[in-house]
Amino acid sequence: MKIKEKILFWQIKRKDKEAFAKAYDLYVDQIYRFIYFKINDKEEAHDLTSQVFLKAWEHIQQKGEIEVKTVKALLYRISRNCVIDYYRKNNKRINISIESDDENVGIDIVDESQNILKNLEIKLDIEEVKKKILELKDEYREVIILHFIDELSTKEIAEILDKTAGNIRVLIHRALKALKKLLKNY
Amino acid sequence: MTNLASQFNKLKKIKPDYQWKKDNRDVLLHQINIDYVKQEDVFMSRFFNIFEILFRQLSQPIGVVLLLMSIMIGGGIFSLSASENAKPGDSLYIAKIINEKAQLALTFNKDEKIELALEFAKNRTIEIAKIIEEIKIENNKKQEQVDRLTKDFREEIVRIKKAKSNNSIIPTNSGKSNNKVQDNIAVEDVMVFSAYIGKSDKGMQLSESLTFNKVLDQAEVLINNKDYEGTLEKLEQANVIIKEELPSISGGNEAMADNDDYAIIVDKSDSTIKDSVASSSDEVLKEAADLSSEDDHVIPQGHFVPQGHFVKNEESNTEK
Repeated sequence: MKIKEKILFWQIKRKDKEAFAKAYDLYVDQIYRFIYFKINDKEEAHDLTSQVFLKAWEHIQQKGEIEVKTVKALLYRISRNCVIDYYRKNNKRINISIESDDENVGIDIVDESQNILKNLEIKLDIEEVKKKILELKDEYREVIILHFIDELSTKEIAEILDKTAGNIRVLIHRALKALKKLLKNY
Repeated sequence: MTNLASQFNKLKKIKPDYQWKKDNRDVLLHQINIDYVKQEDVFMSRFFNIFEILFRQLSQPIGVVLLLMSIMIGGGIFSLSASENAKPGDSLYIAKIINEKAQLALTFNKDEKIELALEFAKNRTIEIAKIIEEIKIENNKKQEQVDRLTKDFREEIVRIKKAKSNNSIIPTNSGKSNNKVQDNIAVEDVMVFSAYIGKSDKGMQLSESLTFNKVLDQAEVLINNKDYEGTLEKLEQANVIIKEELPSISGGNEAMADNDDYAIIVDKSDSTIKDSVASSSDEVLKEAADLSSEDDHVIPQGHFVPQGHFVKNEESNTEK
């Protein structure tokens, strides 16, 4: 996988549009989810996701060398920065209010074979966990999303967050503990 | 924990709208197109990428050595096959010349060497014809290249003649009996003598050799007269002569073997005479004379010295 990602990076560096489209198809869901969990707004998450990919392309073309090893790590880093910029511009606190106007915003259940009742159950479950995740402090929320939802390894998360793998393991442990506590209270 | 894991799995279902994903993809690619109209050849970039990554990331010594070897061998074979039709001025022409030299150096059979040299002389002729037909080359350069190739052609012809003359005298240079002959008689004299009697295979070989040289001389004259087709014909003729000669040369080897028998017998007689046993030496010499008359081959007729020995000893016997 690492080699494939490296080949993908070199192809994008050589201005290969097809490779860029491939990277988009591979990572758009994860990046969108990551941003969505950070800002809890479907439309904004769409815009920011689009921005992230464009910035990644420009970054690779302009700098040539990237400080992270893979395109995926670069996309997550740019996503984090975009979210920070977003809050800076809108003068909002990074701690997002869980009182969202639309409870089901940003959630699309793709599997259409399930019946409506089951869909509703899932949606309720998702909302439950989502709310709790959003209550977590930012760095815990970040590692929970990256590790348990986007399935990134501790090494990859360490690269994105510019921390050591050991730090990340400790963070994951603490984040999980905090989430369990929140869910118990619920 | 299991419950939490299943909850996380459910969260993975959070995805952007399918339509948005598709539209956004198109928008992004369009934006990239505007910013970077100049796009390199994708195939080439992929090709270079793979090499770049291979050398940067996967430069395991064995892998690299194998890769280099396969490139070298493959490249060598490719360039050799590609250089076959190269003409002077082409980048692969030097590879062609090196290939020819290597072929010549690696051929140890003298006849095959002559055949190869004839082939290379043909190549030079064809190249000259190609150069003359070439429109793109300026006349000065054309003349220069033709002169150089003609010179190379002549060198090939000289090499062939030299190889041929060396090849012709091989039978006389081997065999035990020759050791004694070489002290007194020059190799050339033996050749002239053989030619003079005109009966032996050796004499025939020499006459063929003369024809061969004549054909080569004619080829040289024709190339000077810029008759390249004629030159090629003459070279082909020379090739035919060489091929016809091959069986006679192998026959010559048989003659050499018989000749060795003859030499052993003569030596035997020599030593017998030295031991002053005239009668037995007579018998042995008779045996040698019979063998000599039976085999109508080269060296026995040119062997004066052993006979000389005999005469000398006979005289000494008469004196006794």
